[in-house]
Amino acid sequence: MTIPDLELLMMQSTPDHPPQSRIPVKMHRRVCLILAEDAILCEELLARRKLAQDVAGRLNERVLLLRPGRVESVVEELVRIGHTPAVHSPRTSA
Amino acid sequence: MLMLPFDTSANDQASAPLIRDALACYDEPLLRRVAGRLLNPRSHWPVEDLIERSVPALSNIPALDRRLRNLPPACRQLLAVVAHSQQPRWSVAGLVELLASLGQRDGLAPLVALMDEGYLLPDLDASARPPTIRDFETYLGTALFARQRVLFVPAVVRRCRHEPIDWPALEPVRLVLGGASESDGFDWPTRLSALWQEAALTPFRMTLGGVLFKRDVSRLRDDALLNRPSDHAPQVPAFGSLLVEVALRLGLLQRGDNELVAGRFGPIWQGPLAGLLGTIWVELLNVERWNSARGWSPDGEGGGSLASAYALMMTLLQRQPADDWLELRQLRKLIESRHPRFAGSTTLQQTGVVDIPDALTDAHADTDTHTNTDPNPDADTDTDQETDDDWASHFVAAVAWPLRLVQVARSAAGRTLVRLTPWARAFFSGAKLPTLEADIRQTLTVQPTGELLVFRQGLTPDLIRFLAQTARWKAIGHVCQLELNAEMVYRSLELGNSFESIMQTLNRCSVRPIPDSIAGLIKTWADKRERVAVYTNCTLLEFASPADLEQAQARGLLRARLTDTIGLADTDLDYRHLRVVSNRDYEAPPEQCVSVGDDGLTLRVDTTVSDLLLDSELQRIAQPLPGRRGDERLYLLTQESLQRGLASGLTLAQLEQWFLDRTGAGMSNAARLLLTASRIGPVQLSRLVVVEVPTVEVAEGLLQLPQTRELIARRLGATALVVAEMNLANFVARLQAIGLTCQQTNDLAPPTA
Repeated sequence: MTIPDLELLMMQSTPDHPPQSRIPVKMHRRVCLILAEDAILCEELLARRKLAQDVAGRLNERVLLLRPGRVESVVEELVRIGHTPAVHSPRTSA
Repeated sequence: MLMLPFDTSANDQASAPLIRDALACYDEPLLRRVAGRLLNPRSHWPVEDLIERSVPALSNIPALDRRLRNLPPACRQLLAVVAHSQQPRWSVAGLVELLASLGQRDGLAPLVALMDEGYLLPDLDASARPPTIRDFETYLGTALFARQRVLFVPAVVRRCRHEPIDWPALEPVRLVLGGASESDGFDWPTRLSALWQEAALTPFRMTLGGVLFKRDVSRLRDDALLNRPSDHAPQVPAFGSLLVEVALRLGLLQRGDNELVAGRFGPIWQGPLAGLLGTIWVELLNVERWNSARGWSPDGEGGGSLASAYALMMTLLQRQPADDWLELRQLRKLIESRHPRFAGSTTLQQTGVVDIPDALTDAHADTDTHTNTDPNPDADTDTDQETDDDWASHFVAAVAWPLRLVQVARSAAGRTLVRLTPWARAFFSGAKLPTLEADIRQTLTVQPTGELLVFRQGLTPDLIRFLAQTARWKAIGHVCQLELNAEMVYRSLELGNSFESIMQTLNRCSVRPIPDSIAGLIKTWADKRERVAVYTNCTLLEFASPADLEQAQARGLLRARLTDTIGLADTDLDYRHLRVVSNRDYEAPPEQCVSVGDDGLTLRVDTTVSDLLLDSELQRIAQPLPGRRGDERLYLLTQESLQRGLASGLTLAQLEQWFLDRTGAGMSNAARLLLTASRIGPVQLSRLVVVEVPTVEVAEGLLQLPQTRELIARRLGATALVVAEMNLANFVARLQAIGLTCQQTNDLAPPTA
């Protein structure tokens, strides 16, 4: 790696100096997801009819995409079947 | 440490913005009048300058002392009671009651005088547009009926703390049976935390009118943790509702959509007990919908708060020497004899309890002319019989004793005696508060059954918060009982505690080591939580290539990588690294991003506006076609894919709606045919002869003519008619009979007659 390359890399990695090239990205906001520990657990969740109804799709073997507005009932159902999901929300209550 | 505005060491800078905002509401002439008294300006200063200079003038002690001497005695006495209350915000109605109790006939005049001097200000509602105040009489008159609050300037109130109240002295009681009873102060904090827990588990529902549902009122009434101030206190009317009101003010409960939900344990819970008790007292004085005589009255029928009576009681106790016991009954009667809310009570002079000068009695007679809503008509105020069922007894039982404000004892005659506790004396005088907690760390034991026994002497507000978040309250008494269970541990983890912090706190506070079985259970519950994570409102970034994703990951923009091109964005996303080519909000209605090909079966997805839901939706009903055309991705509807969609639970109506949402038009006929072909009745196959006539008129004529009409099976088009093969010869003959010639195509067999 040449010295100018190194400088560029450092500039990119420091927050005060935003990188010169911006990465084109498609942004999906306000998405609801389930992130399971492993694929088997994911299958277990999908096998539950009530949960499967609220799953819109599967992004990978561990990630389930939830239908908009269904997250509360999903969490309730997860708790009901004995899971204790870690709920990550920007609006935590206490 | 709690620092109240009337404490001797309080910093007046904290109230400067409130004073500035309040003065900014004054109409200019009114502001110049107030500022003229405060500043005595020699020239015409701009309004902004007047406000800026007035703020420091209201904390200039020498000038204040000089000016306060010229205030009417009623105003100074009012300021003294307010100083003892430690509450700078008062309802106008409460102040009028105080003034009437102090012998002031026109309750509003002293308040107008205080506002004229700048010592009393409107308490602005941050969520509402500030009013414009043109004159104080009108403002106070409106505020009186609207139950609005006013704000005292702290420095002014502090200077009047020692102003004597010209009420008759009460004779202290010398003969006291047994020892003094003083609370440890943990009843209110533990019960408030139990209320928070109850709301966290099942929110309290409210009607549209803003009152609790009957079932939730019953919950408050029947729950032994919430329906009484302490386990050996008498029943107090609607104590649970008082808890709710105070919890709302402390932020422990919050108003949601037609329900009360658990809020936050504020920073006050991380401080000492004295600060928490002081805050509860201060907030309690502003509770309007509960009083110790009638309990809870959401519609104001109970006459609202009795804060003025509570403040008077504390002021009267404060002026007594520290060791003096007063009979609660005498104290009550003295207040009732002067307070406008207790009309009809006999004066103390009539009962011979105390000797009241004639002048004061006359003043009292005048105060009786105020409109009165006796909050305690049933209480026995004239006889010597003590029932412990009056507003003062309820106040002591529900508030003063559990908040550790008063000590209670019994006289030789069996009467209730009260005096302020040492910490209450310090609190009401604005002095430095003593430490109330004992220096005991090991205060609980964890039983192998998961039950927690907590000895109260080692409690702190922070430990109460932790216990309420982590275990279920079962009993609050000398020894408190809680229960550890999966749900509570899960909630504790949700609130930011970790397995390590839970175990650390339990170990630190436990008298004995935590049983291995319980530690194992907590570990299991905590580990289980790590297995499933639900993200309720996250942002995903979809990159054009895996290389872009890796670059974003290197710049720290992603919390997790989900697929080759999709990552979970960090909570504090630095947008300077990104060029957002498309932005999709999943709470918004679905985006129309699919177009249907001419065949009615090929679906073209515009990938610049599509979302992740679309891929999943399409995979249920279509099969992807390899490759892509520019920004388009192709899918094909086949009979198998559509039938697979139906088999997965989709209905025809949902599919129709999907096409409307995603393509802007209904389902294509081809797709509908593929879906419904198996359910359509059989297609009729038969040999028919098509007769094509030269003009529409000929066709119409043949259809009308009786001899040909009966042989025509149906009309296919403007000039095309259908004739059954067996009728063909007959039809041709009738055509020829009317003069029409027929030309026959080669593939048709010659008609036979």
